Amino acid sequence: MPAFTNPDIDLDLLGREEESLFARDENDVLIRREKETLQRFEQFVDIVIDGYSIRVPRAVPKTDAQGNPLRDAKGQLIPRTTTIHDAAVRLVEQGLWTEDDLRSRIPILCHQRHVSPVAVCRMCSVHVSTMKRGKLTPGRKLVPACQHRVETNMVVTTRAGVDGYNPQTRDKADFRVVERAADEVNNAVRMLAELLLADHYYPPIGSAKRYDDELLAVAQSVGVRPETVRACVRRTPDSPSRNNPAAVHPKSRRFPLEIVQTPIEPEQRAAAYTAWVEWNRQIDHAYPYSSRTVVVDHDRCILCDRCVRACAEVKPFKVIGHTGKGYGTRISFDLDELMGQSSCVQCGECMNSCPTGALSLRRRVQPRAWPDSPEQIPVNPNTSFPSGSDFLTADEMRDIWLAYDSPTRGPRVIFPFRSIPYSYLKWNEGSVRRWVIPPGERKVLCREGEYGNTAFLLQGTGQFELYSRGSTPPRKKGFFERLLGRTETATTTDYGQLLRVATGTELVLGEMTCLTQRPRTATVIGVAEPDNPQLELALDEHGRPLAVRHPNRRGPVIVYEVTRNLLDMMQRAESARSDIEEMYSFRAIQTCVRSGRIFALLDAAEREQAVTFLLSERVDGKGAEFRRVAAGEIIVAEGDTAAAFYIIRLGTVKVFTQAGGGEQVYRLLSAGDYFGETALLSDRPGVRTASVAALDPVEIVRVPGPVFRRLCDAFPKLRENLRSTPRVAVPGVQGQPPPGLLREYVRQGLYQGQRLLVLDLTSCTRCDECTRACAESHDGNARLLREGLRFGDFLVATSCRSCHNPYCMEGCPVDAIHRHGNHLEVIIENHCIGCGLCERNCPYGAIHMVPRAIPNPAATAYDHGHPHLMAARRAVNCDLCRGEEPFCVEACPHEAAFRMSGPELMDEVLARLNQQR
Amino acid sequence: MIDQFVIVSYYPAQDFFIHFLFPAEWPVLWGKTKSVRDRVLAIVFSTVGITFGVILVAAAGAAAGLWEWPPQPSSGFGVACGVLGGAIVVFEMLILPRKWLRSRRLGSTRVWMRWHVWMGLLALPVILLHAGFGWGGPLPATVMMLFLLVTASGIWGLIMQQWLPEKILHDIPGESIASQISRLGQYHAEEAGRLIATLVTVPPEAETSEPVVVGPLAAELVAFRDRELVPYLESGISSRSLLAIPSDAQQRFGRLREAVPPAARPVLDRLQELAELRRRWDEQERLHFWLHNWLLLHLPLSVTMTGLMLLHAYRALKFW
Repeated sequence: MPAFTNPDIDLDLLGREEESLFARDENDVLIRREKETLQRFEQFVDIVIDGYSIRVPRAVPKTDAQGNPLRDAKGQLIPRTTTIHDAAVRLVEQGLWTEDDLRSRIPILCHQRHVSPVAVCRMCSVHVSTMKRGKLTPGRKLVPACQHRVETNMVVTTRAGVDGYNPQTRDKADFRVVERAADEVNNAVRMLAELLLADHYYPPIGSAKRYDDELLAVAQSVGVRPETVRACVRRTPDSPSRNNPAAVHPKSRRFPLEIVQTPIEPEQRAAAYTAWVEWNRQIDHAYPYSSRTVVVDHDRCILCDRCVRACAEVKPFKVIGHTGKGYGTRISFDLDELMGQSSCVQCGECMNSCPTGALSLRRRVQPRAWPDSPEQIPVNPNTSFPSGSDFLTADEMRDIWLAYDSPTRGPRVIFPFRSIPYSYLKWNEGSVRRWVIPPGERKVLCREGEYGNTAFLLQGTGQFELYSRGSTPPRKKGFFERLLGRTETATTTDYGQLLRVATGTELVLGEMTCLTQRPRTATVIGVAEPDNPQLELALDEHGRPLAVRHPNRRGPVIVYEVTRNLLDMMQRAESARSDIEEMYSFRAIQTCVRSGRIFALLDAAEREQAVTFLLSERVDGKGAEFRRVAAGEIIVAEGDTAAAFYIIRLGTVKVFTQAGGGEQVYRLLSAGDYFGETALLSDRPGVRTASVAALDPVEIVRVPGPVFRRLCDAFPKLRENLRSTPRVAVPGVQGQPPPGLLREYVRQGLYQGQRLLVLDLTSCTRCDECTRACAESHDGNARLLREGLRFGDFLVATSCRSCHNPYCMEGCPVDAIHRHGNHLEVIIENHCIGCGLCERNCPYGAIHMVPRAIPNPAATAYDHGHPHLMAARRAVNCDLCRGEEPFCVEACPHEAAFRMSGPELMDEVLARLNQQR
Repeated sequence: MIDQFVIVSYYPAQDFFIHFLFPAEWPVLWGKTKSVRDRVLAIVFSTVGITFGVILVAAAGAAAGLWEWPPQPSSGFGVACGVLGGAIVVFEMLILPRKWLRSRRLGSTRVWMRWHVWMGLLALPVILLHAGFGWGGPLPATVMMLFLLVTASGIWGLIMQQWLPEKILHDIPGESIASQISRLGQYHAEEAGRLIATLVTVPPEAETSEPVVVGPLAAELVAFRDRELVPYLESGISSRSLLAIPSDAQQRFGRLREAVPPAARPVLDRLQELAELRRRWDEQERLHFWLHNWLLLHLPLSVTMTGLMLLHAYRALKFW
């Protein structure tokens, strides 16, 4: 179990009684933090950091690694103590400091913004003084900025001291105090850096860069260099190492690894393979704790606990902990197993968190998102990636820059991959593809209706035409398709109606399909006009990056296609997240109006006017806003005063009331539906007669009541539509299900299913032909279980449901699970690393982990593979037989096995109920 | 048949051919939305209707002078009926490789099965006409006998498949996968053993030092577990336990429930629940047997009949 303090632990839940000021958490660690409360979101404190005043709340919402606020069982935000570092980050957000300023003033090593602070390295030490009755009282101890809470009248001095003091308040500063405090901080931080370097710094393994050495970077930023460290003489080649698992206090010898870079041209593949074998031999010998994916070097470990927290907080595995005492302490996997033999699932989160290379990359993943990609992406991380390829290397990814014209913050240049750990980029080399559209040419980037797993980052020039055909009815099968069960696919060049033309400064296109796992809503064609201007990166007078257009020079349009996992990682940085969120929200409102049922009576021009209206109209400063709602969260509560109208963009909500101590569900609403209009359109302000809660992660557009009334006045057809359109109980179902059936429909999550495997139990002879057919067509591993919950006379078998919102796809670290083309099947690619996250995520138990029967062909160009290249297990799920008629249905000799959606199943059950009556 | 006439009216005329040949969108073959009784009657009426219908058509042809009546096996009409019947039998046998090759794209098995059923029904009058309503020599008589048995077992199986799935659905609420019942029985036997152990022994984490049930009653409970309950949960009705009989089980658990202290009653409730579940599974196994046992007759007889039919055809054509 991880042994770190959690400052936000709820003392009420502690297993032991309090010990004076201290208490113990569930890990038996002493803590003395009081519980944060929701009220502290509203309580503000003023603090001064290096002469810069900032006002911050006492608590901020706790978030996950992606920046999503976390909520408790009651749906309320979980508060987290605001620290000095949080306040300093606010200064960056307000533009008073730059990120470089922050790193220079408060260097951090053990801290990451998305995990709980532990303050073990103390590199972020700052000096704190308190202003009492107008007099500055210096503190006696330095405090860690990453963990120390903000207090009223706090005056913080960082290592920047007088030089970095706010010029505007310089005249009021007591320089004697500031200088002394800064010296104290600098001395302490330098000493810490020297000690850490002396014990833990080594030159990189191998000849290729595989990670960012943050320890070295931080040490250099405070003026400490490895060659000048006084104590480094301790670390001769004969110094004891912790990498020998056989010794109690290992004393093995270190030696450098000579890995020769080998190109991967076809004729030299044998040499590349030899280099790979040699690399593995040396790793096995010198770093026996290593696993298939990660090289473990305990000697580099500074015990910063980042990996421990990453394994427990970012991912739910809790494999990494500590072993030993005092100087002999080191991280351990399970009960000090070798990493490869522990229960580690090789998700790589620890490796991406490590600041020193103690956990570093051993092998690359071969991404398979590109149908036309070359197969021979080198596995050895020390082997160069093909030069001149469209697939970018980690270094090239870091250098990507985009000119973004933000609607709220103006034009600026952003580097989307600078915040992503180098080791992650290296691990996923090949996940970014550069498309260059020469002047005068066009390129289809993506097609409407496809389940893409990539987004397009736009460098800043060019135009992007968005076409849509709208929803097309399913094509009827032909004679031979019926006979043979095959589906013909045709590629059409009719893209439909031009929706709009986006410019290259809109940052990103196609992000919705990555973030929501829904099919693309438009066909995007990149257009490079013959006179497309060239775009270049330059620096302004302050040294800030600047995109310069050369109208007289022609240049190509550059688009970067990135996979979903990289887009997820990008969003761990606050700035990238807010940039993408900005565009996403804007487009979400557009999509809502274009496809919302309430706007069905408006023609195309009127809809565009409605979009403009919603984006611009404000009453008392409030206008339409985009919101994400977590599953289970109540959007509208029964009895509340009606204040807004809601349009659902994604997801499903239930409308219910509490009656007789139980919940009575009246109807379900899904994407395109709306609610909350009745109380707003009545003569008097009404109250809500029912509650509305999200059944899964929902995206809604909230239109304040006054704005909604003005919208109805501006577009009278809307009011007419609201009155005339009948409301169905379940989207896609014609009948009115009885309350018990509707409750069961919701409980079983059937509304999610697009291809449920249902067995009609009045016809099914339990012959198991479906299971056998599935096993025989999938290497002996049946991907369905003829067991599950019943709905009416039907058994909903345990098999992939092709959910509207596929939870299984969330968080895959190597983007191995996704949909392809315009098919519903969820494909798990062969480069699955077997981490089991998708299996945990699937609420219906449809994904199984199975041992690999054959070597992973994606990992090597060689027929028989290599043990180091193979995952021990991999995830498998129903792939709907790759888009054709599934064998389970085709093999059923009776009228029993069907694939159908949730509403179709409900229709069947209702039809039978009606017949029985 | 009745359902078919209704179904045809669902579709426009131009789609009739496709839907007739590949009726994937037919609601059901035998009208699954109808009652079991209606479906069984539909099978019987279809069999009788097709048989008499074809014979009547043949008789009408004979009356018109197209062929003689009763038809002779060696006449042109008789041989044509024989060839047609043989072709149907060969087609019927193709359902076997179709079902074995589950992972091949050979068309939907249910379409194959529909044609298997309809052509099988059609084969009966065709073969009767071919035989001239007689038995012939020893070989033709054997083939005819086997053919009639195969047809009868097929119709019997078809009727079972209309009736028993619905009976299982309604009578066995805790239905499980039939092949897993013995394994589930083992799990339940282990659970029962643990439950009774918690009553007659003191668990390590318990706050009291005395078991819930002590003395002779504890010994009776242990004996009940070892001699009756666990064997029954493991082996079901084959254990010859009295728990297989609902009234006896009710009585046995009722007596125990009265004897034990109130704290032990929830455990007994759970044990009785496990025994009832096992009883239902026994019933499921029994129904499952009847649902599939006709194949034990139908399949070997079909193979034998086909082999002898080919021999009969070879001999008949050789000496024709």
